[in-house]
Amino acid sequence: MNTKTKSSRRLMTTLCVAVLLSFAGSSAFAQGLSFFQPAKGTDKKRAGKVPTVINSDVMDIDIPKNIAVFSGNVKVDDEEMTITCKKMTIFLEDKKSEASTAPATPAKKTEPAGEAAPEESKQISRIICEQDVVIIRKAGDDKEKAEGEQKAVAGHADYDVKTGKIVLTKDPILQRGQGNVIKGEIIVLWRDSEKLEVHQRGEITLSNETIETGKDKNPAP
Amino acid sequence: MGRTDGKISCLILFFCIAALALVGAFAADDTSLIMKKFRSPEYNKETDELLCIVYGERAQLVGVLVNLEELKIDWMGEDGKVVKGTVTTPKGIYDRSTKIIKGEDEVHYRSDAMDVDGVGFDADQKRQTIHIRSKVKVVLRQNLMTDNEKDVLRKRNEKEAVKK
Repeated sequence: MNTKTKSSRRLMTTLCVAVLLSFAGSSAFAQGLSFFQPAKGTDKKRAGKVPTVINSDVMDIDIPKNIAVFSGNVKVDDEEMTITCKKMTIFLEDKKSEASTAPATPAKKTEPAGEAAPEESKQISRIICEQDVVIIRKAGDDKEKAEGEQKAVAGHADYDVKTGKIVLTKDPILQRGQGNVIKGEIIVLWRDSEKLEVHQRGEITLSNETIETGKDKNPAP
Repeated sequence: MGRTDGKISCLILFFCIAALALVGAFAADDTSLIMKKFRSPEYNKETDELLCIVYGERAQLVGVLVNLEELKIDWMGEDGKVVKGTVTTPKGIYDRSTKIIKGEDEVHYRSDAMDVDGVGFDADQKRQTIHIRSKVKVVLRQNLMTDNEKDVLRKRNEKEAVKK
């Protein structure tokens, strides 16, 4: 058996657990696959001080409606992930009195964001990404990097920032490393938990490596 | 009595013609009004609420247009008391008929949620909208942490503060 055949066999045997849930209206819960979760043991500590930077060609701000729309080559660089798409809408809302213990800050503020005071009166509540949406989770450390890139691709993504719920539609695909793929009509994932939902025509493909270890190598804690 | 009314009418007519002649003369000479270090508030005609305040180093009125230099716009909140965001740019043209300020130069928008930099803009005073035409860079004053992550971070910071 030559090397090519061997590797292709390995690839083929890269067990295609094609769990085809091609029945309309069905849904799958894929717990333990740990898409968009930190690798176990990495204990990545988010400082929460790195500001999120967005670049785009065009932007529209609607002050009374608390909406900002980015168009063109939209790129979001966050501490936890990067997002690229063609159009993105950010919804802002007034912060609840959760910071009531903190000293009040005036609404008028002009200092750069990098040096911003910790409390602001507005917070991002929701982000909608449209067209060619790619979300890549940033690896916390070398161990996570070795596990492979965690990527979500879709035509539309609706991210509830407060709850961490991301709803991917329009041909969504989740990838982790080489060969671990989840497809479906609608994929819902929660950043705060290990839960992942695949609605309609769900298809899960796991790599040989993942299967051989008997489970995902790094299930989320 | 009728004679007096007639004289008054003639006088009014004379002043109107004189005023028109003056305006015409100014227009012919391309003369325009120039203001320095100005401050111009804009109110909602229906509610009388303050919508925005336009500041600048220099404003030149040319017909319906106003050429503005070292421009700053403070957009007010619903109550007209709090500044919700501020636009600054080196140059802009304000169209008094549409209430839209346009500019080709670099523009900066600062608010309590984000800092925005870009090139070229259209700011609608009435609708309180800003369109930035190119090279947009936004720095959010917060990241995309979930409420749960914020709680975890806050507790961790509290613990570390106690240790110290």
